[in-house]
Amino acid sequence: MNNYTSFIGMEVHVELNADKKMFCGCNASHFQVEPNTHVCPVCLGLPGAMPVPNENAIWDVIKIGKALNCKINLKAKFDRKHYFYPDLPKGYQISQYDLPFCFDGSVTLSDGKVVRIRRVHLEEDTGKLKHANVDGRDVSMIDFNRSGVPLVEIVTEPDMETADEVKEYLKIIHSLVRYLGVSDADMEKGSMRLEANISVSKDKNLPPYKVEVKNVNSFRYIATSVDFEIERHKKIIEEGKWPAQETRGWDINTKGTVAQRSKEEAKDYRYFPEPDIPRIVLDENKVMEIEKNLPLLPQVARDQLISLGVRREWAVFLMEDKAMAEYSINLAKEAKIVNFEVDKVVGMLTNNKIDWKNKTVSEVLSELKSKSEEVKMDEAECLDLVNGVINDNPKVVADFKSGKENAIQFLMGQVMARSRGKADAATVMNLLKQRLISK
Amino acid sequence: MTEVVLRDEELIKLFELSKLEVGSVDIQKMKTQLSDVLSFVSVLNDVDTSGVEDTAEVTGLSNVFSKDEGKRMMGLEDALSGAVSKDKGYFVVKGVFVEDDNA
Amino acid sequence: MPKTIADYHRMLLSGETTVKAVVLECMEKIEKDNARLNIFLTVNDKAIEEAEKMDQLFAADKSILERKPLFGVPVGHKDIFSTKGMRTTAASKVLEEYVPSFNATVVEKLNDAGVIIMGKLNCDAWAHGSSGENSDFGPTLNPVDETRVPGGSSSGSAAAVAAGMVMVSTATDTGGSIRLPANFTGTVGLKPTYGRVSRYGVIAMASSLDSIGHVTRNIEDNAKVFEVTSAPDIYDANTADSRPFKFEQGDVAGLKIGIPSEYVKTLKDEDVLAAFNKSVERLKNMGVEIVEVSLPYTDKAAASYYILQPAEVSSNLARFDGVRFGKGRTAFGPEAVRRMLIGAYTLSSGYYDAYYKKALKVRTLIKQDFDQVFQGVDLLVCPVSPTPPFKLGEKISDPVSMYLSDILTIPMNLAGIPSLALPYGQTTEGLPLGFQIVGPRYSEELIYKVASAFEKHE
Repeated sequence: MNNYTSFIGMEVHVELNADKKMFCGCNASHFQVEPNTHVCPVCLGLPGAMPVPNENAIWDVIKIGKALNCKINLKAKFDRKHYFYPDLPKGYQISQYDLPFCFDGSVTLSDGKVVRIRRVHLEEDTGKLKHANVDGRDVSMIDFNRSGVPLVEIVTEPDMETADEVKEYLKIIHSLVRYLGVSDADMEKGSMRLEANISVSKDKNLPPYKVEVKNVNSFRYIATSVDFEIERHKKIIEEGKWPAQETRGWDINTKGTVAQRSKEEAKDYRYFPEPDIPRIVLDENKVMEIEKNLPLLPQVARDQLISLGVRREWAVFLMEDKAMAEYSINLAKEAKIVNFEVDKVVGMLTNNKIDWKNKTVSEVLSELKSKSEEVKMDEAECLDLVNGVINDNPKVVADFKSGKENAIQFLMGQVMARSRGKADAATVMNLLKQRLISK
Repeated sequence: MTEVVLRDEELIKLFELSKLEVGSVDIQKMKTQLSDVLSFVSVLNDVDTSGVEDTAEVTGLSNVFSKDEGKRMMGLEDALSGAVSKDKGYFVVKGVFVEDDNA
Repeated sequence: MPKTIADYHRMLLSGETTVKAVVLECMEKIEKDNARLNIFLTVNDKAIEEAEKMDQLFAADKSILERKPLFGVPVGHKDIFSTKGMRTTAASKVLEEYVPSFNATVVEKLNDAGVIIMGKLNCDAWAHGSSGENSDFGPTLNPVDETRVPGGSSSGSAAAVAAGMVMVSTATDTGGSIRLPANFTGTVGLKPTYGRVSRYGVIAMASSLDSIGHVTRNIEDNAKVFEVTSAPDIYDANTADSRPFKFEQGDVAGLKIGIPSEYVKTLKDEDVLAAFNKSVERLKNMGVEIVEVSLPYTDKAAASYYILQPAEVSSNLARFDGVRFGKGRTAFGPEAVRRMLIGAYTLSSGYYDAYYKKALKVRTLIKQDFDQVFQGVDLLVCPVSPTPPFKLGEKISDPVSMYLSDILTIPMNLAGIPSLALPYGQTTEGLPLGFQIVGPRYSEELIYKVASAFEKHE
């Protein structure tokens, strides 16, 4: 099955770590809080209550948008999005429809792939439903503490093609909002939620369907579900049909996706501008200030590391945490100055061999320097040790000669141990090979 | 004025969108009345609005932001006071199994 | 009952009356007439007790009248105003048992000004109607002629004042719902500038059109209440521009007042036309310059309104799902159902542009009509209703004919401008007639000035 193109777009919801809710002054914290205690007439949707927007949340979205290279709609508004669900108290969600705060951005992955950001908008979160069985009846218990918490939605174009690209994109978003300090993006707590839109076609054209995969709360599972879906779609397409346009959920038991809705009509949200909230007109100067004052961003950190000589996978790994990223860039820069092999030095950081939280970059580098200046064994001394180990381990030598290539590692280890680290590993390997092949 | 005649399927869809039960009203009467209203308002089709902006709001206001200090936060008892069905601090409804719309 | 609030306070100071006496008088009227007229849905059984407390406060410190401008005034609230601890039904079975745990801002302000709440007033359910006949709890009768409607949707508000059961009623006007009942009952009703009075806690009908006002027996009382309610409120974003109101009286000679020809043309009823012409004559005698003006898009206003309003209604009623309060959605009456269905239709994808967006553009044209006209005149004077109060049952079976009662009041809501309905004249059968004074946004000071001068003119 070749010649297939996958089209994957991601919708990520990020809960802002705001003090107050999006449209009222209620305490926005809701994790492990007694149910229905952080509510007021507004977020409970009581008759006569009206929304008034939280300004800080708006500037947080602008930060996110700018960090994602987006254009900003200086004139923006909120809209009502209508649907019925018990956790949605007003029967509509205040969101943004045609004038989102941010649009037309992009994120570049480590291999140069550009993922376009279609839009970044602000909306309010819903309450939380808990399923239970009370007196033999299946019920849902609703807690509205989360209702009205500010939520940012980040939507990409269907530019991703593989599970790896999806994972990397998500890592960037996950890091980015934490670098900006606007969200703790905790997948387990639900402050970052994922939804993938997947389709596959035999040519380069976007096919006339897409499948939404929801209810996945880890990068690993979203990757697995993406792989699963791509295979599932390919099989159906091979049979000459298009996969059904539907919503599916990740099932941890079957390690596959399952259809979640029986009928799938286009939902009619009947959007119209929110009449209770006057329009937003953003100060262009303030937007530019925000752009200017953006901190180091994960994609930028990653690219800096790569340009300094760090290998791609490690750069992606290190960008995840801002403090670690900043440290590794510093380390790479300084290592380069003293002519150390950047990739090697930074590799030690990646492999947890550097106590970066407690040591400064200069301390680390000077330690490495003194270690390397230790008188290294010369080749003659090495040869002695090599011969000694070969003589003392005839069986292992015999194993090697009879085809067991890995046996040489054992011998190598022995030489290094006997040298108490003073031998140069590459030299030892060369000598061992020479001696074993000649003998 | 254009005559608008609502089809039965359209009417049923409107009931669904509004979460209202069809059985609660005289359906033929409702269809006629709705069609009458829609015909009545269709007089707007004849109005030339090319180049005219929408007026979604009349105040001309912009950038009104919250000054709410959280004084309206209700106690649990008040929050649950209107609910017919409640338990252990939660509102209770019949079990809902279709996944909700919001991620 | 004292004729005005000023009289009332004078009589309290002179000892001629007490708060308890006034409240008792109201309560007696309620006990005698409410079952028949169906004005109050809920009566405050603590009103007399509260009146006694107020008399004690007054006895201890007479200067309380300076701090509480509406001290002791018996008030009724249209039953869409949230009153803490007091049932609020919106005249609908859905909220038959709903008791809010908070006060609407206006309720709070009036409480702070010293009012006594006599109870909650009947209206068209959810404020949907022009006659009071859409209440789930039976129609209110017009106290002036009990075979006729008192007008709606603030039917109970106007009737309560006309029947002497309260001195002041709160009310709302989305397409004429204060002005029409004021006109039908011979009382004074204010529809303020949209956004001048807080909507917080008032059950929303159409969010971009609802204006929060009140009904009284005379201009002076009406202005006094407005001095309390006109203010910005942090809980209602659309009041950010609001400001206090101060009642000014004085000479209005030299003002230019326009009469929109399109409005007068609708008057087929001889009595209404005659009374309107007489009121214009009176204004002229006051030294006002009368000018004929044109509002060309007047005849498109009702169509625009009956697209925008049901759309917002369908949205605002979505929260009534029976989960957190109220009964479920099966308890909605037919008019509410009708408006929700129309709203769903005009907002649905495929129809949004043709209906909703189109109506928004026509709204602009109507607003521009007023903006242009106010370049040349200070205020407008127009009739409120094409007909005198109609009979119960006359229009109820045809929604469109009922909607047409509002054609002379709807345009002001679309434009967001203020209008004061005041009584003047009667039909040969003694039915109340009147007219409205309309001004640009935030021109209530001038409107009241003219209204007061009109009322006092010999």
